[in-house]
Amino acid sequence: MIGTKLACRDRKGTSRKGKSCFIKSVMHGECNGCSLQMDEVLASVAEKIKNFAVIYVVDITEVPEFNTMYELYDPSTVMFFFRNKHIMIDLGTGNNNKINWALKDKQDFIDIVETVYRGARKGRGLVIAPKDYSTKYRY
Amino acid sequence: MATLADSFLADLDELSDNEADVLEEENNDVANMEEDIDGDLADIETLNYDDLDSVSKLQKSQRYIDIMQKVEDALEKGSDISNQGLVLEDDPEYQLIVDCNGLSVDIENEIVIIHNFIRDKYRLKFPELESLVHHPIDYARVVKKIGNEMDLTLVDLEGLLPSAIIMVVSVTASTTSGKPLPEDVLQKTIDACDRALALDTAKKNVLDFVESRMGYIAPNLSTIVGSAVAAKLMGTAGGLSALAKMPACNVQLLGAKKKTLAGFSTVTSQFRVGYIEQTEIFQTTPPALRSRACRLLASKATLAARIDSTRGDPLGNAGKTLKEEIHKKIEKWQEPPPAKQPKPLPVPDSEPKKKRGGRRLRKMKERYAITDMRKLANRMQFGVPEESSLGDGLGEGYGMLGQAGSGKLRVSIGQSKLAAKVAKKFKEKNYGSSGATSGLTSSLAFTPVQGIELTNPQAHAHQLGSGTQSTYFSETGTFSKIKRT
Repeated sequence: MIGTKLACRDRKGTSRKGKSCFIKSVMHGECNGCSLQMDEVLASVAEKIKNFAVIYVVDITEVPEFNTMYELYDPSTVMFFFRNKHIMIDLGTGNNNKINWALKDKQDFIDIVETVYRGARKGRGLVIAPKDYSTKYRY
Repeated sequence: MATLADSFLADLDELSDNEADVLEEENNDVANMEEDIDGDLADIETLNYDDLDSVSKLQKSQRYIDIMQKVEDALEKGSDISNQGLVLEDDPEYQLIVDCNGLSVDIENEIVIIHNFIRDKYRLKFPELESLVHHPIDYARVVKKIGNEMDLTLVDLEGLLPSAIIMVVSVTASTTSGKPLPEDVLQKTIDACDRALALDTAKKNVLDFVESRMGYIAPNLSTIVGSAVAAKLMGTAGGLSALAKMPACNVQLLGAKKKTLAGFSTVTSQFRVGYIEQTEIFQTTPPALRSRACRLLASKATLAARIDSTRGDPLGNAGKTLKEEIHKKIEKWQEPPPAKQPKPLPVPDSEPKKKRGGRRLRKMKERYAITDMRKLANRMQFGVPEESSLGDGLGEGYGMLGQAGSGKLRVSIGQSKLAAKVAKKFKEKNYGSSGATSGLTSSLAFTPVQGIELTNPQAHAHQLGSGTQSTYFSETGTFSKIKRT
């Protein structure tokens, strides 16, 4: 899963299908648990949500053009786009633009994607995640 | 039980034309009997017969003797490859086989009659035996073995019965209420047992003969179930055409044994299957699929029997195809189920919610519908400032309510359905206190057993009301009786 699936610049074309897509960025060379775990969750979920979402994995060391624009500095980052528009999610963490930690639960992730899809189709730019992640550092 | 029915059957046999000449023979036989015949009883076929021969006539009948003779001859001759060109009905062997089938049914009936006779006689000696040993031939053998013996430890029943049953029989015999039989009764009983066993061997001979000819009579049926089982089925049904006329569910049960309980539960008892159980196909299916296989076999066997009864396929090819079909089906049942494919989730909001309609929903929605008052309050007249609850534009506005030009002389509140429902509930729960209760009463009830109860159990009793209280004008009461016109 680590490797460029599709260049970021192609986003415009693919998202026109009406599907939401989300991009996961990976830091190459840093195969730490955080990124791998997120990868695993995404891989297992990809088949299930393929009717309304598509996943792209981008290696930010190979494609550094968007690093400053989206502030991609964490080991793993997931951002959501719908028809070429960036969708914000209120996760409770303070950062509404992305998920920059490893989500462990598959079903949680599917719920987030579904919420994003529903909200984005209605035209909302910000959706509220079903679960609050403000305490995510407390295990 | 079947005693009366069988004696009627015996009557019918008596009346058939074939045996008209036999009647004279039998009267002579009866006259020659050594035993005393109770004159009154011999005239009417009642259950209290004293003499075996007055009800068991088959062995003496001419028909029986003829057929048995022919069968023995044919068995000695060995398997005969009959001429295929002959039309079946003209073949004397076929006729013999048809007769054999009829005879085997008659022999069965006869055995039942004799079994009843033995049972009636032996009841004085050992009444419980009849409920322990159901099969007539086994019963006859056991009776012969035990004889007049009172102590069953001296009697060896090995080989006649399964060991569990032997044990039960021995135990029951030690506590039986029976008494030893008088000598002449015992002799009659033993004679009857011998007669039954002789009939049984005769039946076996007949079946063997039919079995050997099975490939010629019913090639399709014998291909599917095997010639032995086919012969048995035909014998029990009473002929090929009789077998063909039976529905498949009956064919499945031909030859099914009634299980002896002996105190064991019926939970472990198998499903109902008869001679089909002995077929090779049934034996080679795994136990889990046996009941399905039994039904399948019975239905295909019935089809084959129908083909055979009309001689539709003398070579047996239809039987072979049916057998192939059966094998294929059983194989398919044993296939593992297809692997489960993980289904992707459907697109959210793509399937519209199923909205229900109808009277019930409409009535429910009426409770929350907008009332006329609210409608008026929502509107305003042009250029006319509305009144408000706190005056001067503060508070909730009243809109057209109460204004001069609204067009309505009087706006009534109207009965809001929701309000009615809420009011009813309120009344039932007795939330409001009437003036008569004192300020010191509480809704807690103090009971001796459970201490404090939160709900007053008396309140529910009062709800039903005493007999004197009229429910006619009650606002919480419902209809007492609704008559349909």
